Amino acid sequence: MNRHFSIKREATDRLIKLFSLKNDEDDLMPENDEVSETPWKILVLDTHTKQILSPLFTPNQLHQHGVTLFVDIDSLRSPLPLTAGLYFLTPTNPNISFIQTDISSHLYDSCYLSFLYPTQSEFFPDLARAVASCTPTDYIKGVSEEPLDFLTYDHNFFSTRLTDTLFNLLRPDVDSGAKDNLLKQIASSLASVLLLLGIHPIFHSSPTEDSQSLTRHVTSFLQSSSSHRPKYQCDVFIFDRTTDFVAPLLHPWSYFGLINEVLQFSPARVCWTDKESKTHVENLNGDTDPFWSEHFRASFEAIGPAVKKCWDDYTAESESVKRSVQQDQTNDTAIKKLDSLTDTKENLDKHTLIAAEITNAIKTRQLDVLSTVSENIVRGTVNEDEVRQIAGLDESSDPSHPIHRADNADLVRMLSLLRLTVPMSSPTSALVSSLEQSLSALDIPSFSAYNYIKRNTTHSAPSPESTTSGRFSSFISKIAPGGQFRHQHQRILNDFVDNKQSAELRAFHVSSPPVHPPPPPSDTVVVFELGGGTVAEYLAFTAKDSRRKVIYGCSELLTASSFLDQLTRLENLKS
Amino acid sequence: MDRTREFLSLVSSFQSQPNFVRDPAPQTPPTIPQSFVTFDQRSKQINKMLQTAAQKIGYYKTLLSQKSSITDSTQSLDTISSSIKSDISMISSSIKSIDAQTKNKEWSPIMLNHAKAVIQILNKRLTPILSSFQECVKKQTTELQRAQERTQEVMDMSGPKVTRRRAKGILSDRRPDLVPQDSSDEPIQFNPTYPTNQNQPNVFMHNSFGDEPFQTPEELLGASDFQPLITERREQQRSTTLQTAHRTLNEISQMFQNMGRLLAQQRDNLQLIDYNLDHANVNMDMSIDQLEKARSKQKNRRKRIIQILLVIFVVVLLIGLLVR
Repeated sequence: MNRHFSIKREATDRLIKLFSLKNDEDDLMPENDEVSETPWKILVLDTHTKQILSPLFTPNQLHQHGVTLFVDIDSLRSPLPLTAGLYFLTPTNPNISFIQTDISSHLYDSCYLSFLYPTQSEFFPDLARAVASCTPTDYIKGVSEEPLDFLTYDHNFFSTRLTDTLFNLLRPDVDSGAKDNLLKQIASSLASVLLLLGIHPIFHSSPTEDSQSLTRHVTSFLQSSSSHRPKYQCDVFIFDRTTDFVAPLLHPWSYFGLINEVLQFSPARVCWTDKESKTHVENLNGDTDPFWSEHFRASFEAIGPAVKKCWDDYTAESESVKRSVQQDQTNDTAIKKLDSLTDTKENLDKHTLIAAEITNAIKTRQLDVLSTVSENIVRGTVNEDEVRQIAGLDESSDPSHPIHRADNADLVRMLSLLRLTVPMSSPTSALVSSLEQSLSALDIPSFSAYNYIKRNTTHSAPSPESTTSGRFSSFISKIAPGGQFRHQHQRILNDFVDNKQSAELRAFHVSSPPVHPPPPPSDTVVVFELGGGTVAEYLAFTAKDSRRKVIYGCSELLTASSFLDQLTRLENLKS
Repeated sequence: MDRTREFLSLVSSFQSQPNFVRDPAPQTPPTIPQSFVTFDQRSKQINKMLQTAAQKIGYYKTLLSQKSSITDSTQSLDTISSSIKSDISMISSSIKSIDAQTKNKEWSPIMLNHAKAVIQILNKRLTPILSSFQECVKKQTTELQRAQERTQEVMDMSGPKVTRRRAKGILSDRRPDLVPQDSSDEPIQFNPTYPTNQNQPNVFMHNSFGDEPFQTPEELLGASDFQPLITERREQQRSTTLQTAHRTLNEISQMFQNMGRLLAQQRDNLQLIDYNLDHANVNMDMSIDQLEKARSKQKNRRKRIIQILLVIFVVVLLIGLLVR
């Protein structure tokens, strides 16, 4: 059975139900008129829930659901009588005391509390104790727990709201309790998505300790959840970032990839500071921005012509509307069209600005050359001259195609990529050594990241006891020169789909929580990247020609700089 | 996952414990300005009225799709349309009147912001109602105009002469699949006694419009409608309805123009929840900063006044001493 899962739709529906202030009992009594008595509500959020809600609803959409205002729980709030207070919060002790103060000071007319799943076993008793001590106890009309603890990037793309997960998972000085807590937090996000979509998982977890303990935590969350009624059975792949360090190092050339590389991308938005130090913040939501939904996968060179074409269409249409308005003053259809034309223009302006900013970065950082070089490296067809020129090792460049030396950080990235992909025996290894020498002489902060990769990359088979050492060796033998590049994890999933019993796939640990009766299987596969995912992988997994629908999740969305920064910190910890 | 029941039972179990300590000094609820209470009640009433108007429009739509403007009386449509119209104008003026209340100085900033948002929401809910009502009225108007044209033709005719266009009109109401493609307006002559013999060729009775034979014109129109084809009374009613509809359409356009201005003002530049919140926080911080600055300025001014007074006092004292 195949079903088109959408995390975004399910999460939005869940929240809309929350905004309707109805609880399960009201559903049984539709004539209950109390709900329509309180059409206005104030939404109280904390930092985390605000982050979760932001890509799902715009302030306008909140208005549609009767939410008049939304406020921070820790801000100074004055009373708003006759209005329902709807709290959407993380289950923490400081939030309990905020709620207690609100109730004692009669801040709102009534109170609906909703917390992110999962709550600790002592959370509700603590909250109940705090509420019981307040005078108006009939103040609380509803309490619920929502499996929404994740950030929604798109219908099939989510991440946890944590940062630095790779660093925290790999740091050698972390005690097992702290690491277990981190894994639990990550597991709660993955479990939330599975609960929300009604998925019964068949886990295929990477043969690393962290992925397997993540699987155990997700399983225990699902088993302890009383409301988990799975509707579909899906394969859930848990990949460990440490088994593929290549993906975050690649220089992207897709529109989405470049946005994530050059600008600051977060769910449903992009921010950047231009040359005049002006900060821009723009929405990037596929549901309201047709240009984005159509072109986010496209290569960057296609974006310019696409924007141009949309501009031409826009100009033609606006001319025709203008003409029809001039001819007939009361032409309603033309006036209605004006609204959508204004939206189109705003959208195109936005993409023009974004594309211009990216073009500047491409020119200054030579991202076009770097992306070609990195693509050649992973394909096993390294063009040594090109590498020498961009690395400034060879000054005698072709005057017709001048290639300047790239930024140091970009060169460290290229060097790391070469180190991970070029075997020691290859003639290119001399180039790698000379590049390493030239870069090590300079004082580059991210060079430590390269040292970390180098220290942990061995060209022998990994020993079973090894934790970090030798983890990244598996990549080297897999390159088919000149062939189409596939990400390491994508290849494993393809083997699974093709029923190929490759050695890598066989190493995966398969487990599933018990369920009776098992729900019908679905074609959709959930892929989760522990330690961070990348835009390039997301685009590859969810490509239009892929045979299985994929929901892509990660512990955080990495950029090359955040990835190298985490590795640098790991290396510095060691020294 | 709803946990209300479980939670409330936990609360009551805590409260029933004999040594459970309750909040010793309960705060008195804040006093609510009467004007805010009225605002709240009226906004809720308007919201209900909007729901009712939406339901009525749904009913109006079904009625429009079911009734034929030729054969059926327009009375029920008129009633519902005028009722919706009065509802909408009532809602619109009510929103305006409560909007005037938002300039109340008794209200706290949060109340004012809430009230503004309520008005914005009500206006946004009114917009789709207004546009679907406009669509319905337009549809009714076109149908009425068509019916009027046809009636005129029928009135102009004497005897059982039926123009092809009229036949087409009747057909398009009853059997849209049988409408002929040509648009010539030549009168079609046929035997007023209608032949019962199916073998005789007859342009109206047979396959010039479709394959299957169909009813006689009497059956087609209904005996009561055919004899006095369309009564004068109905015609009058139709023309009044048409005039009202035109008026209504103008009024709706006017309302739209007014609302358009309002909604354009309320359009968000950036539609992000946390950005707006952060922005609000920044604004709040800025205003707190300004308050602090104002306070320190005030303090400085006070200091200076005291200093000046002191100087004056010393001068006066010195003058006094010198005079002595």
